[in-house]
Amino acid sequence: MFEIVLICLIAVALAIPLGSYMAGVFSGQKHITDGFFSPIESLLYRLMRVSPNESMTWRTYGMAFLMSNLILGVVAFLLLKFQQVLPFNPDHIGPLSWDLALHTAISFITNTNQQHYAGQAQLSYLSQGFLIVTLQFVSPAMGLAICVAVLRGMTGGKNNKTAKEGEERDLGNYYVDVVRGVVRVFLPLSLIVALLLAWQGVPSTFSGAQHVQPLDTQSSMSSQAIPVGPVSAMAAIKQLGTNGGGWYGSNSADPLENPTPLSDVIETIAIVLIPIAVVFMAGGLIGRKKFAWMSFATMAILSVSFTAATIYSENQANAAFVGASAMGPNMEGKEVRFGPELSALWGALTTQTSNGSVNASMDSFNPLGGLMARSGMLVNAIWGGVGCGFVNFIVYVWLAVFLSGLMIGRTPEIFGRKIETKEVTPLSSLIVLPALCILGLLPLPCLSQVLRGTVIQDFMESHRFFMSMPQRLRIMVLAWQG
Amino acid sequence: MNAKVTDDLHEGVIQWHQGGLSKQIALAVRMSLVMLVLCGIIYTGSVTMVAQTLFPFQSTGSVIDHNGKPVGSKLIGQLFQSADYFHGRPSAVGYDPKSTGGSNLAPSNLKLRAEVEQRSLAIQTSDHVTASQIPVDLLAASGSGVDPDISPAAALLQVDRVAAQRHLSVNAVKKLVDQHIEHPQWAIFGQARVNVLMLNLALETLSDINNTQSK
Repeated sequence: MFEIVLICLIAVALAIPLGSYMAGVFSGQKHITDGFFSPIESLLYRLMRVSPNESMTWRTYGMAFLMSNLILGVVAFLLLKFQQVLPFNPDHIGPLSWDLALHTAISFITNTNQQHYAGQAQLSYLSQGFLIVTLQFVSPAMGLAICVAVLRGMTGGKNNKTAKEGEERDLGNYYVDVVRGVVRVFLPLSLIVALLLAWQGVPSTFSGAQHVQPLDTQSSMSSQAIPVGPVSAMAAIKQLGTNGGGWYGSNSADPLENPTPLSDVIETIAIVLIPIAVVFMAGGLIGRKKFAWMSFATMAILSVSFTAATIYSENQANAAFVGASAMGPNMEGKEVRFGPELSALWGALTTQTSNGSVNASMDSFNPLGGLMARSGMLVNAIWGGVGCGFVNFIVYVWLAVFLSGLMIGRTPEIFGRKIETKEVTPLSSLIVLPALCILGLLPLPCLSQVLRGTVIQDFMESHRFFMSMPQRLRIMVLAWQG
Repeated sequence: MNAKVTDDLHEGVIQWHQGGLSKQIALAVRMSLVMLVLCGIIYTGSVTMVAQTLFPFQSTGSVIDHNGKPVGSKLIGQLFQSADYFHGRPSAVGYDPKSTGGSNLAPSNLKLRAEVEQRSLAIQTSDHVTASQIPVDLLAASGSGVDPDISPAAALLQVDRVAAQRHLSVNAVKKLVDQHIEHPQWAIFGQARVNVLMLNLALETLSDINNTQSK
């Protein structure tokens, strides 16, 4: 238990200074690191032909966001589709099918990082180390830029003091925000985390898989290939950017991606570090420290209670083991070096921040642990993904202010701006939309035999939800009889 | 200053609208390429190169040699089935590091119950113990399918069998297990554990010494 408390304290203690540093980064304040970062940034602006002082309205900012996503998605698709003819493919891996390439490109461009491939077997070093890593840097930087723009807009834009009524507000420059986010926040942090992970044993090489001769020659395994690659570079940004898509199929449960308890602690802190820092960054950007602490307290209370429930749940026995083994926690799908508590902590935090990396099989969690994971994902505002999580939280704040305004019979206002029907309609649709998509689209895959696959078959065998009508009647009759 | 900022802003907005779609596409393409070079090549390349120089053993997968041949990775578990070796945890992927993963079976799944019971019975027969003596981790498939470790209790459970198979004294084998228990890192993080491959390698050496002595 002590280790869990310690990890949480370290994470918060690191996030507070990081948050104020990030506020400086996005408000363009002077910083001692300018001498190092500014030349890099001006080089990047020159290469991209961006004029950093150019302002954007919400329309142009949003347009730039959509366009850069679309183009990066197309580039990603093409690289995945043609990885077999591109360099850095020592294990001679073939191309992805068009649908898998499309799925992967969309998945990483949206910071979802859902993987329908096994990284070590289906992606070349170029696809993983070059493309996926880039998407893992750029997609959270884009989310952070959107968050920063929303915060600027909420307080009337950069030109709030000078703008006349009805004038377009200045939200800053999208490309500048993305570049500063990548160069000043994500790259330096990833560099540190990657080297720490490499020290703990995460592979970092461009040579191919290592082939070994297992010790037990009588076993059914005659040879073993140890897949390696530039893993540490990717594992770092995967955690820091709330990306979650790992190098190996089993993600951070794989001992090569997460070799020791210490690497697990580093990776766990990296999950929540920037999402917590964003809360304090917001306070600095809008000049309201109290708002930051209110948001922090709200999220922390939810986060701690979700996490505690998950830890409690995983410390209980797995129902399938009762009577077959000694009493013990739920170890199905968990690694011995982490045990139930570090696995539960990770499971709770990774779903709250919509990170999605795992160090244990979440499907094998006990029911309460699974419930907490699902709740964290649906709320997506307890820390939440980098940038997007805090935007979601602001949406909840706006709605709460609107509702409380209705209750006391005053025109609801936040930061000097009224919230009326015009604002509330799109805000509430943002809350309904995810649930609508999930519930509305879920029946479609269930209709198809192929998509239902074996998973639902198991589900039907083990749960009594999907019984046919005669079965149900028979059970009712039996229950009634006796 | 105020008037100038407003004017600049207007100009910026007008420029953007005039440039139109093709300008935005071109800008997005340039950004994609610049970011691919910065994050994909420069970052990945420099991290990998520095890590390789600083940590040569870890960087290539912590592969260990036995009798001059690479026998496995310290981090990756292997399939041990012979009775004269310590066995690792059940694996949903047969200890293949190329297709790692867990069983993903829920606690309510009857298939999991059946598998656990079968594993329990197998260990009860091979190690002459009762079900309530078998530590959970020896029956539960790991998340990666290549978990290199077992709990100290799971190792101690197998001592009698391994000692008998190898004609070694129970005490010598037990001492070997004790030597291979890794305690929580920095006495705080993680659980106590035994690396099965390292333990079995030490076991080999112990048997070799014993054989030469008895000859």
